[in-house]
Amino acid sequence: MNERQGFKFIAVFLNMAWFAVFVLVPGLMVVGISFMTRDTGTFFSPPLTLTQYRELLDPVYAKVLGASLIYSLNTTLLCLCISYPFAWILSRVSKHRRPLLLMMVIIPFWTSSLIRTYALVILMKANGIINTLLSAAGIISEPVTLLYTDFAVYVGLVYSLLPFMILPLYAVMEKMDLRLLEAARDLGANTCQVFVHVVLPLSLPGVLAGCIMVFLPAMGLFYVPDLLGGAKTMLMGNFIKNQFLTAMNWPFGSAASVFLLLLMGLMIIIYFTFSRRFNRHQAL
Amino acid sequence: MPVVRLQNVSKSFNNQPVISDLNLDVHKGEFLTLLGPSGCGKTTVLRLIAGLETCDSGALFINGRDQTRMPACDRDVNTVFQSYALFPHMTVFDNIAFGLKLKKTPARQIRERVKETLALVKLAGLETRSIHGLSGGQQQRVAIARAIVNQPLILLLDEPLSALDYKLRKQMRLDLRQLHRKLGITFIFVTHDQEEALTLSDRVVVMNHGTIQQTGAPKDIYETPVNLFVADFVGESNIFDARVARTSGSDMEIHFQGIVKIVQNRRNFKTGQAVKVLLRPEDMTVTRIQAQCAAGSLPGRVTEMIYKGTTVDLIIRLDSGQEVFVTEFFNEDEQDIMYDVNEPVCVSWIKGWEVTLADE
Repeated sequence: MNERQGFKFIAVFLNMAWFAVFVLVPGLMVVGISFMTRDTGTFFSPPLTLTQYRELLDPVYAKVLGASLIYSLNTTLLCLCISYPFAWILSRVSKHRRPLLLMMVIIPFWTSSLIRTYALVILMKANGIINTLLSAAGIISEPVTLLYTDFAVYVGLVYSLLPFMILPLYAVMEKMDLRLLEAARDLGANTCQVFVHVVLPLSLPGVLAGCIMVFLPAMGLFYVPDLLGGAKTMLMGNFIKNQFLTAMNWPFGSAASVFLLLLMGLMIIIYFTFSRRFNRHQAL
Repeated sequence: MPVVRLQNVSKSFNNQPVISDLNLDVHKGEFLTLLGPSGCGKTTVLRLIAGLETCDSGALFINGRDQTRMPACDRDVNTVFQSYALFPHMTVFDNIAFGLKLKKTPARQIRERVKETLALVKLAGLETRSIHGLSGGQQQRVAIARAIVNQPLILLLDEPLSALDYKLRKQMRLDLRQLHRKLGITFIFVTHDQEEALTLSDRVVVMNHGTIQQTGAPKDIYETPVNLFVADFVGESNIFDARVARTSGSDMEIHFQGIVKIVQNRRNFKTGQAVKVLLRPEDMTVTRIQAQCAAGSLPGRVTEMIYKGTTVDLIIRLDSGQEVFVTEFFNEDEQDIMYDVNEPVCVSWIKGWEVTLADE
């Protein structure tokens, strides 16, 4: 084994070991626990059972799950609607103005989203910045309820996850060959038709990647509804957190986590199947 | 009525004028070439006609109707782009059918027309192939098919052959000519390659710095260039500085390179005027020196001989120091056109084969 191969081996081995110890083993533990029974003393105990999964289908929990899915779905759509035009502009502005706009996306992206969520609390609370400004301007006479509403939860989710949608969209749009749009216009397509037949299909890989990167985290950001929704809203993340920390029902929390994991796996499979088919078309 | 008329058209980008006060008529059914160096504005003229750019001032008429402000999608004009710009997410069929589908052509008719057009560009049976599986030449043909399937009034071609290799380019040239004849529509072709321009076109428009330098049949452009730019850009030429010593009728006597020669006076030059004498390499003849060069021929020495199969190219340094480029053809009578380097020779030409222009 020469030096280079040795280096390669060590690099790969370290990574594999890291993932095995900190991702694979805990993951398998969660899967294992999900098949066990609740135990108040040791958190979980042996008799293997499918009870937890059966219970997940119980209307009470299915409703929580459904609500969480709807929150994620709406967040994803909102992010997409906001990001798409923004990413388009970002990919089209002159080269020297682009870094500034990109920084505006990336700097919040680097800041802890917990801190940013607290910042939103300060903005939106009854005597917060927004209400103070509005009443100072004489637009409102008494504070508007912003915090602890669905609106606040959506603001928090969208704000936290926006960069995950903008960046993949920007990546595909920046690479898009503008001459294709000209060709479409030349062949008789109006602005709307150019968008539907050329821009949209060519940006689809970015749309898909962005949606996956927003949809899944949106189910797990438990502190956003906790801080902004007044714990009235429940996401999958809150549900799992509660099962582990409040209800002390580890097996049930694990089953919910496994469910989330499966959902993620499914979406990644869809993404890869799609993008492989797309790349076969596009690779030149 | 011209099929396209550009009337006093100007266009600038970032305050840099690209086209200034350009007037051009394109006749129905002709193969017109816009020829010029890169940055001369030829592609901009094409894009203005396509509607991909709008004129800053002036007017553009297509088929007699003012279409200066008409958006690209509503013009009866299609373009073959230099980069082909084929849609990567579509098959060959979908690429070609793109324009027809937008026009809500019935599906059966689309299938038939795509099939016919593919046969026309010699790609029959490739409907279901994806774009990236095609060679450069095939992509080029799909790009042409995608444009002509719409049966436009005018087909615009923006340096479509520049990405192809030499052999393919020659083949495509022939195919384009045939296509033009078969379709009978107006072709406007943009190129910087003078050979392409001369071999393909009915009429050539030579452009430089956003203005038209000369318009005419390939033969006119090559044989009687109106200025030094055209003479220099289209084909090779040897240019001599000369002075008119005497005029008599249609002839004049000029002094240059230390000799006196009688040439034709086609442009009413006056005695004493400074002129440029232009000679194509193939219009000059080289003879072996016999003691002394005959009157009106220029003495010099061969500095380079390049054998090219059908011709021999000679670079000759005249005694005055100027270098000239001469092409000699092999022919039955005169087999001996192979010269030695440094061999003394005389260079001359037949009166009237020169082009004389005023010194600008």
